[in-house]
Amino acid sequence: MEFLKKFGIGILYAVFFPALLVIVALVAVYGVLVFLVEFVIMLINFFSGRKCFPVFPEDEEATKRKQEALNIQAGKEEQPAPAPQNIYVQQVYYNTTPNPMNPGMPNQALGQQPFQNPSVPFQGQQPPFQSVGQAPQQPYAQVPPVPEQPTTQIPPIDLDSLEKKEDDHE
Amino acid sequence: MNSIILLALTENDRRLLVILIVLLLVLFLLIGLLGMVVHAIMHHQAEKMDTIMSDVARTHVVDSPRQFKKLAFKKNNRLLYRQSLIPFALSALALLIWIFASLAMNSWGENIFASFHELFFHFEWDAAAEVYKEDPLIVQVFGISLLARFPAVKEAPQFHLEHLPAYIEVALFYVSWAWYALNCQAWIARFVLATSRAKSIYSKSLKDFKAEEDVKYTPKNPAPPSED
Repeated sequence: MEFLKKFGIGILYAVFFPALLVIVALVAVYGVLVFLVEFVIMLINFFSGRKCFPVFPEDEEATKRKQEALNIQAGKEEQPAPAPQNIYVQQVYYNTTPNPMNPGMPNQALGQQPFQNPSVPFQGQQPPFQSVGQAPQQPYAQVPPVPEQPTTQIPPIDLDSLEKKEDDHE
Repeated sequence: MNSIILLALTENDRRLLVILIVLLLVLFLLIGLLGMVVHAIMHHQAEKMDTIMSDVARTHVVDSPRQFKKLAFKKNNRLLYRQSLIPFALSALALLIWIFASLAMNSWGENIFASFHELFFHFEWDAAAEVYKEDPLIVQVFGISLLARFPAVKEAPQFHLEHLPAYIEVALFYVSWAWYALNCQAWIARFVLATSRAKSIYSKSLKDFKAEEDVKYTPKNPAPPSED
């Protein structure tokens, strides 16, 4: 079906081919004038020390806006992640044997493993594992930082320019 | 009536009729295919307009059909100039060769195109020529004149060394003119696409909009019940 549609368009092009040739001839004459004018502009720019064909102001503005958008995007991506906050959980082991120095107070071993064989719990002490399968308590835990949510600002709509654009549509 | 006409035809006439129909069908197919080729080439040439106007449209530097068409026209002209540099340079080179060759050989009045055409076959297309007395060139089939045989050769290709500059000049002229014609066709294709895009990019449609269901913009005052 697509081929038939294209074939039909091809037949139309063939039927209007003489008209197309006439239009090409007219554009060819116009093109010679354009060539002469652009050639003169190029020579003037060349001998003035400027670029032969300076970039259109609209293209410069478009490049500038693109670059600004890329910079904003790159700025957001390159924002370094905040350092992970380490929370140190203090493990306190209490010995049931009386403290020779202070018999009334429990014996604390701060940050130290109270026994050599971790599979055998120390007498009077709860084992570090509450249930089978539970992960052992780490001496410190890392809390992942919450990334900052990027805020996007919507530019305000200028009504005056909007009306002007609608006039251009007519 | 039609069946009587068909029965009156001889076997030879029927064969000629079938050949004529096949020829017309093949001609129709060829013309359609040629048109498809021209359409495909123009479509490919027009895509350049999307490339050159994409940045300014997407960054909203041009924000109305009038601005779009104006900038597209200027860019199209500049692109035509850039693309036509080589064909114009070839034509200028051919012109220089003609001037220097004519100065050197004092052949200002020579028809360089006739000299170039000596390199090709020339056929006898005059049906009344002597060579077609026994074996005619044209035959009438149901009122239509058709070629009955391949035409006879009138002149075989000839190469003359003194015409060498003419061969080079005319070859350069033909190549540059064909190249320039293609560039002009490309200009037309880009112009048509720019006009079409200027309308489609900035057009707005209320086709699927339902005012009752839209929650983004709530009217301050509700419409009266009999609003037309």
